[in-house]
Amino acid sequence: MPAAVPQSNRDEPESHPPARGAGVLRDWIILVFASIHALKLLAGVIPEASRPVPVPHELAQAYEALTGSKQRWTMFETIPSYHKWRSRLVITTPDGRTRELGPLLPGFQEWMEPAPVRLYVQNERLFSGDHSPVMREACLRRLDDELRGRGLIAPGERWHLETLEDFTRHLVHIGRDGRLYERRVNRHEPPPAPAGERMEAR
Amino acid sequence: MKHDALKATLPGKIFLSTEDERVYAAVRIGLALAALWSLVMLWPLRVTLLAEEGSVPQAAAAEQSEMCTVLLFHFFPSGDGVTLLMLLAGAAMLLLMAGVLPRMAAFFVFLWQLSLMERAPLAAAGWDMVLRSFSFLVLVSPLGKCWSLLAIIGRRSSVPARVARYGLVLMRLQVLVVYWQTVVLKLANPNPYWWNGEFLPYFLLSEYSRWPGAWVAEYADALALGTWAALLAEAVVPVLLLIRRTRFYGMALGMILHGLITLAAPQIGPFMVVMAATYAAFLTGEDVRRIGQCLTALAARFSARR
Repeated sequence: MPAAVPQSNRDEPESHPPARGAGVLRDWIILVFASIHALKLLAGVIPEASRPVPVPHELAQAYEALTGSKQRWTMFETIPSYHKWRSRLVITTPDGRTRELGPLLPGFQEWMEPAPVRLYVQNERLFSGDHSPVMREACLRRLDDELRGRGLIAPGERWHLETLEDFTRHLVHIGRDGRLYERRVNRHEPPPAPAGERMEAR
Repeated sequence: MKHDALKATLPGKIFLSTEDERVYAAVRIGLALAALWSLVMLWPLRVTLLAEEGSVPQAAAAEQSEMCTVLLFHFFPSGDGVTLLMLLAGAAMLLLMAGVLPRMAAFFVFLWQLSLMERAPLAAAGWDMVLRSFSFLVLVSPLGKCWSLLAIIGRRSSVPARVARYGLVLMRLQVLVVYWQTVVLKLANPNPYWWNGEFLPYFLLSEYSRWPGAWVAEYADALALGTWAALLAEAVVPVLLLIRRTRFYGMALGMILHGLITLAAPQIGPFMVVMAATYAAFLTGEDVRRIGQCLTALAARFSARR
């Protein structure tokens, strides 16, 4: 009777020379790392906000940052809210007339159609959520610097950024009249001048 | 503890049992292709999202960063620098795909993905996070010499080695966490879109949709079934993938799910490509042997025609 052929996906310890020194140490390191990482991954099934006991330990956070293993799978988070989301720069002259510019740097480009996902999520998170006030302010300051640096704003003119947020209406209401969204326009003013900068210069 | 005793422990059996190194090669090639796809999609937006002359200055990104640095972008802040950095990242992805200097290439790809998330965290898509997690796991996994450019050019018929499977186990767990955490988040969401089945209609009315229109409201009840089916599929796919006998059903169900999402919303198509690459971690030695045979037969047919 022929000997059973080992299945290719089974362990074949006889095919390996017995490990010594460095091999044993390497396997220990693998075991420790893999066990820690596996436990960390499994704990990630429960989202951070829902964990009964948060793990605020700095070491754990540093490990997540260094290994890129932070688990936050919030895909589709904002989808139910928006039918569309756009923004534009509005410049108002001293006599009240307005003109518009594309809001995307460099070069005050217009939004692309259809909007690439990354552009859409970045701008929506920048201006409609509370994700990053620091980045929002920095972005507005960049726009201000660029407008003034390129001479696109004359003395006495003012500018602001408008977000055009088209909220999807309730399905029942859409079914009644076919109108898909309600538009809300939000206004973001340029940040105040940094300390020490004279207003006349702006 | 002796080496055999170490392997006989439960963690030893899970992580130190061996697998055909070609499975790792399949993951390496899949990840490199998916990362390259994502890079190409990012290319037109590189200056707007990543350069100093773009929308968000580097200093603000660094201030928000968990690591207090934007890593590689610190050295390549300008538009031209970002272009150069992306070309280097693309080259690293090609090297990783070809298996040339694979560890170095994997390190650069991981560093690129990490830097991207630190520089533009608000612009990050779900597939960026999958690529970041997987590129780390590829970096720490055995990379082997199979299915590499050097092996093909040298026409070396090397016997594939059997290597420890810890990397594959971690990759499989990572896929499980991606699906299961998103299910938990959806069910725990204070908005009832997933519970009452309204998510899919709203998805089809959103920015991403290929066919937004009032027709969606007419079919809301039927589309509710689609919402629940998607949720069920996300819960079931990892289970099917983890069971050896059902892994191909899991891959098929996952690809149908992601394929339908891509059909309805082509803008988020890269997620399907990236998830398809992660499924390679569920292959076995026997699967890759068959894939290898198919590729060899194809190559032979191609060279016979020439």
